[in-house]
Amino acid sequence: MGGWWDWPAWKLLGVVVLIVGLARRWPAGPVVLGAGLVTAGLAGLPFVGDNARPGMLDTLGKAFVENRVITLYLLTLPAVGLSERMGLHSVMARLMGRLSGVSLARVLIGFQVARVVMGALGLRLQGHVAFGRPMVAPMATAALPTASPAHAAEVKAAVAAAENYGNFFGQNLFPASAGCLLVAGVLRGAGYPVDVVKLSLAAIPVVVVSLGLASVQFVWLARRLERLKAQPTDTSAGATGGDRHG
Amino acid sequence: MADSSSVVARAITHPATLETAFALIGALLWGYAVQVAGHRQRAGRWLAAAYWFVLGALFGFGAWLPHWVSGLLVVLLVGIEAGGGVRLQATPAPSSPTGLMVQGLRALWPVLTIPGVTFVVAGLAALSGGDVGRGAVIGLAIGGILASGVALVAGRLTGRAALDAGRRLTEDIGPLHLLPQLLASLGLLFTAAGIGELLAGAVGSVVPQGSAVGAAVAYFLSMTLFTALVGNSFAAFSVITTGIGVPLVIAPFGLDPAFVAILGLTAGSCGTLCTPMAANFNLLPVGLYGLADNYAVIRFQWRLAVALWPAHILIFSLFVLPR
Repeated sequence: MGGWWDWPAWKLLGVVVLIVGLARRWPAGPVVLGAGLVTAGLAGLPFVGDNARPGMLDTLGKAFVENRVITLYLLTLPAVGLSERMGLHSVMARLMGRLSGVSLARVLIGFQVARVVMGALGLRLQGHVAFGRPMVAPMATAALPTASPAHAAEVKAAVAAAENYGNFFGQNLFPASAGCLLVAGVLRGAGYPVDVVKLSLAAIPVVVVSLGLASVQFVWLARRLERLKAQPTDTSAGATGGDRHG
Repeated sequence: MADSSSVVARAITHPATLETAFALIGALLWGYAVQVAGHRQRAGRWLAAAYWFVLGALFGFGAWLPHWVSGLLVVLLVGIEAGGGVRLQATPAPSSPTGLMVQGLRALWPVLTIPGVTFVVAGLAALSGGDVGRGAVIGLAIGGILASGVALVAGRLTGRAALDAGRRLTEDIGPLHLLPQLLASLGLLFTAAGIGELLAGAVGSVVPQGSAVGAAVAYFLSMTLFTALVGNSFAAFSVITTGIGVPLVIAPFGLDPAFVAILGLTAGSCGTLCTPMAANFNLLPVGLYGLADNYAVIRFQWRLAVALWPAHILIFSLFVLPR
């Protein structure tokens, strides 16, 4: 007893495995499981335990089975797939097409709001691929005061950001989203059972603040590009302009 | 009235209701496995079929299998994933409309049926005094099934088409579907191994004693930094919440666990906005939109993240701390 191997922090090696593995983009499942097994092994858990002291396989199996609810949405995928076959994306595109012809800031804010609404309805869609690239980016660049490539690039980055903002914060508004269910699962495991509806309500303030802050950012971007149009500039000024304001 | 409403509440919270949903998922996954096994030209089809078969067994029979058997099956699944047995596409393209285009807004019906039923069942659960969260979960399951029916009628499709469409979507994302569930399990393994106490001890020695705001700053900051490091707020959540959020913020001050935890998750999202590790969100668009600068999206997003982060502390002070 009392040797260097008794140092309790060795168990943190599992966290190191997680960080290194995910950062190096190794397949996520094996990294996560490896991190868990390394941790459990270093903590001295047996492979298979008994009722008094569960082992790592018992703990893993119990946790996985108890958290099946997180992956419950698999049951909705046939319907989503059929919807896509019936032309879901073109319908959505048509609805979002109503944004066209309005100002740059409104396109960006409108896109983010649309993504928050989709998130609140639990529609899990790949926004960059489904809307950002084919729909919103062309609309946003069309709303540009000048057709400078540097400005167009900045606006496209803003479209990507609007998608991420709306998607990240909006999805928590749906009580049965993977995020809310994960939070509920982890808290239950830690001895604090919570209601997923409560979680989705608690997400509202951050959604509101993120929409407000993003609106300010988008309006500033539109104004700056507008001002740059007023004074004729060379393209290099536009390319470095991103760091001056916002 | 009171009688019928309590029947609804009891039906929603009865374990058999949820088990039925899991059994249906199991059947669906076995259907996928049979389909995959039937693709003669496909390389490695047996491994892929085995993957969906084992996953289906875990869903359908998980409640009855001894826990160590379930654990072994999870290891088997991850082993198949590690061996490259399941085709994995990092960026699922929207499945191209294969000829079938339905006029009008009918394509929206199925996807709106899902949230509609979810909220109705959650509402019924609330009205009958039952568990609203469980109602939302059961609603999602019922909504998914009803929505398939709506799609089959609205699009005049066959059940085979539904199985096909579901399998394609499921296979596009592949093993990534299981990641949140695996991460929740990781949280439990970490708890069993006592990682929580270790992290809480290390971070707790830096945080001023007795300050709820100080502890919250430590929790949110850890969430942001750890997420930026691993590129995944879900992964950070299970580690940092069991290690810091619960022992340093929720437990000692008796604060609302739901509010604290959801703020922790979005504090993690602030980290996601700033990191190239979240390639799907921050680097994929660079190629997709044809941008010259690899970090164009992050360069735009970090400002919002920096402004939104302090808002977390503000919301925590306003809504979570007792007056």
